[in-house]
Amino acid sequence: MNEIEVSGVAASALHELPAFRTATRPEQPAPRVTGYFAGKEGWCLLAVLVLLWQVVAWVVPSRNRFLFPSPVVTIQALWSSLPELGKGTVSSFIILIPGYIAAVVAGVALGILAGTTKWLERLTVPFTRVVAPVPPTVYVPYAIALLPGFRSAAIAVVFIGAFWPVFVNAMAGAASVPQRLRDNARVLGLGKVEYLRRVVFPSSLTHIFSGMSVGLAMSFIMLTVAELFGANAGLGRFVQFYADYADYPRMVAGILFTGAVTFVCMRALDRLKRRALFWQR
Amino acid sequence: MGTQTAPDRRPTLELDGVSFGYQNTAVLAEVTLQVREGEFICLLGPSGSGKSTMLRLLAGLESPQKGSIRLGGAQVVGPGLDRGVVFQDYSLFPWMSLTENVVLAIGKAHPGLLREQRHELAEEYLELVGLAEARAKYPGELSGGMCQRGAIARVLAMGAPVLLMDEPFGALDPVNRTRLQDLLLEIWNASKPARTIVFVTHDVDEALLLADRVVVLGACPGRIIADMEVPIPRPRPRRQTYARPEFHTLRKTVNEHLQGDMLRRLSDAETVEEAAGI
Repeated sequence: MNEIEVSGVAASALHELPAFRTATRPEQPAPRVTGYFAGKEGWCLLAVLVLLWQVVAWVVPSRNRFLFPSPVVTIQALWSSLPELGKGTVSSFIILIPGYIAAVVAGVALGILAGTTKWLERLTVPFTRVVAPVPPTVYVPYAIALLPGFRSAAIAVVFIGAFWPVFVNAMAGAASVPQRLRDNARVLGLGKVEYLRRVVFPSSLTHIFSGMSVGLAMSFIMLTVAELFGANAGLGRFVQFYADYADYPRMVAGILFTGAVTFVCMRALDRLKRRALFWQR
Repeated sequence: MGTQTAPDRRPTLELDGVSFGYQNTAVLAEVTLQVREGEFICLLGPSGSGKSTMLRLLAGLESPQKGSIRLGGAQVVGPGLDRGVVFQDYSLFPWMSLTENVVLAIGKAHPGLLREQRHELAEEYLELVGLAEARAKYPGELSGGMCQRGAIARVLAMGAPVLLMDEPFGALDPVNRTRLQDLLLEIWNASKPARTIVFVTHDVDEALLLADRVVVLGACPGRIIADMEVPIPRPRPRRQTYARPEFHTLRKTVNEHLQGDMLRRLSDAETVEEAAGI
């Protein structure tokens, strides 16, 4: 929203100033990193770190080598565990997806209501100040004890982990709808529901998406923690299982695979965000 | 106030002793004004004269602390579809295409229309303002001038008898401003019955070119210091209008009023900031 706010009078006034004009429209393009590595710096660093890992693995005394598997050994373990990891991913997603989606739906709906209704906003203060900051991992043992079956308990803790960031951000977004847009909605005579759906919701989308990406990271944490406690399948369970059997190559492979799955999910959310916020470009 | 009410033109908008302010600052003091049906009136004044506040009061976005505002005899309470508003910027929702923006407004103003009819009407009005090609575009893809055209199409499509425009061309470059002034005049001349327009500006030439009547506001607190008819016949081709002696006399008078108000504030105030109303 900030970008839109500046593009108003202030920006056009600024563009009138000669100093600003030269600052925003440079004669020559800014110097760019050119050549083969341009835009791939992060991947280069990753490659260097993997190489370093291999070197360290050679140096480590052979009696500790089972604790510190080399990249080659780990990749072999990863390859042979792929079917098991695939099944684990499915099992994890059966928990992650319902918990996360429920958290997003509830967080957005309640956040938008609380952000636009003064008394609801006041009502949420003790919860957002006291309950939300509690690290949600502390609920895991109790949820497992309280709820029937591991799956429902895990879904519940994923929900709790993802709900707060989404809710708090949606509320902030809904509370900061620019005055001009609110005036506009009022002069058009939009009803309450239409106002929330067609003005407040799209206007809060930037906030909602930052809440959603924090929430997604939280739900992966909650998922794997819950699986360490009591699952019989899943990504967190995979890591825990091979750690218990001291099969560290497979355990490291599990960690890498979980990282890759998280990365893919975050990228997918980023894609979704760009599509939903196409009008901001 | 010098309102010479013609028999066929009854007052439609009436402000009666309207005062408004924030905390300790009086924005408007005891403003009384009558706007006749079908009249094009310009509110002209420096910043701090409360001209935008006056428009917000007329739109129902604010309520007067003292006095009353009536529209067609009925008290104004809150915004209504009988008054269309065009803001300086931000008039369109950035996440909706031009058509969607206009269709949304039509849906509120004419709830009886079918989906296809709303779209047809929206396209008709977008064509009227020269945006037929751009109808599927989003405000972020359009220039400021095009956005204001869209906002005008939207407000016209709503069919409100009263249009309230808050410096609608204030953020545009001179070329676009000229074009949009001509477009607005053209549309206003063509519409039967004529719409009532209250147009806020700080540009004297703009006010004299567009308006039937110019109401000059003074600052700190905002109040009416002059109210004059613009006896220049319509249509008003820009070049000929600017060449008319009445135009120059009026411009001189308006500028004298504005300058007089500024000098009064300067002599009253201890500091420049105070004079500027800061």
